[in-house]
Amino acid sequence: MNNPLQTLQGSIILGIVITVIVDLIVRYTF
Amino acid sequence: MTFLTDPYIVFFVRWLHVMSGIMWIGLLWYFNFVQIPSMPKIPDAEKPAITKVIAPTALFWFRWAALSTIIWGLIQSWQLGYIWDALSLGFQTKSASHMSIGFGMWMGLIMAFNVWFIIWPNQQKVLGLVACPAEEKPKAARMALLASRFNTMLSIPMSYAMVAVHLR
Repeated sequence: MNNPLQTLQGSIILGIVITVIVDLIVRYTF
Repeated sequence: MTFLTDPYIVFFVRWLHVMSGIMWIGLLWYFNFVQIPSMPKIPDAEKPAITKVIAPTALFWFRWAALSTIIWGLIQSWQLGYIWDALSLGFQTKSASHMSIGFGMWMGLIMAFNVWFIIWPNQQKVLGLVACPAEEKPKAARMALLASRFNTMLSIPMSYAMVAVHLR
């Protein structure tokens, strides 16, 4: 199994996961 | 100087920022969703159409659009008075919208750095635009591919953070 970043699908899934994390940080920090 | 923060000029700069961003991310997605997956399906004899003609042109617009997006975006955040608060992720004024756009700005800055200092130098080696020993080409191609994939991944939260700021 390759590093997920080597596959397009893996990078899309990671991108969406990071989006949710960033949103939660912004939403609940202040 | 007040002329530079006139509401119409602010709007005009935002428009230039968005147009540049469409050119940049459009070409980034073209590379990742169209060109890279298609290369193995193209017969070797026909590959130079991509590597000698289309890719160099696409890379020209890609890297200058990246720089243009960053410059207009930084000017915009300065015009609106939040450049330093956003770059420090909103902690100076405890602003959620500055934190949101700040995350987007940092992701955009990292992506532009990747374009100019990782993707472009390695693509020049792969496409034969600069001298490079044949045995180094696979490593250069891999570095360019990984940085391009990384930027595709970052383009998703980057655009979210940039657009979500207007919801607040």
